Amino acid sequence: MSFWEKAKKVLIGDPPPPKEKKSPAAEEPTAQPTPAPERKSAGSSDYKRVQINRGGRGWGGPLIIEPTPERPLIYCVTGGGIHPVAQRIADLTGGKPFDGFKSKADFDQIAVAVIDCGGTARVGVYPMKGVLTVDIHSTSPSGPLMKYINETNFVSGVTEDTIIALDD
Amino acid sequence: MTVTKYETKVEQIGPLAQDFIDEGILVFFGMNAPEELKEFAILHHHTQLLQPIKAGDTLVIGDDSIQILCVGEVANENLSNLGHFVVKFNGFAEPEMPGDISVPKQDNLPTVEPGVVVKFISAS
Repeated sequence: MSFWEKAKKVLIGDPPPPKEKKSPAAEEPTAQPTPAPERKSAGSSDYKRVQINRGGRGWGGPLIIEPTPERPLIYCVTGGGIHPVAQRIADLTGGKPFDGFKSKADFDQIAVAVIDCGGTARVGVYPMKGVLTVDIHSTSPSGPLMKYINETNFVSGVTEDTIIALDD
Repeated sequence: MTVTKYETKVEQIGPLAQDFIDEGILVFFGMNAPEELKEFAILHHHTQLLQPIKAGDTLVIGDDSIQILCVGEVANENLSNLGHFVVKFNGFAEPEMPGDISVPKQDNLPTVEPGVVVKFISAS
């Protein structure tokens, strides 16, 4: 099954997402402290899923992100190294943070792209390439590539508090 | 007295940058951008942003001087960190997107080609 089919299945097959926009304290009553990412032997069971919800002024989503051995990368294309949102996704899923400005990766290795796009270029480039995209800024589809952006491949206004672990 | 806030020179034009230019949008990125962004961007050697860009400043592209109408809330951050900025020739007084630098509409965008100097200057 391709990543896309899998992602769709997960999206469609899941129960309705927990209510959004609760106060951060109410986010997950039973949430454990963030576990340190454990790197066990290879196998998809090493990776855990997260649900990424839009922020208060954001658009799109929720997206379910589940890295796999073939697609382990949390691909960060932001200023100033690995953004805390990308780090949070990596910590919760076991995916590998990757700085797109420092090294090159193939798109089929990317579980999710994290961008700090102001709304024109990066918001469209990664959806166009078939990569699930998380924008930390509150943008909505815009620019010449907007036709590639939809609610199943893009979510914006994301903060560390709008990322929820699905597998305990 | 004019103050130059940022100055750079165009190095390379991505093969798909024209798609954005056709919609009145110039997308600039520093040379270290990933390949997938270079395709769409006007590339330049990123230098230091000396002062934040704001409405009322002037964008100079080659021989053209263009008044800046508004600056989105994340435009300076992107310029400072990545040499990334987006100029929209849409005439908007309020930014449509948080990364936008909006300037007046014009039929023919300034010619952007390797070697062209791009500057942001302010009058004070």
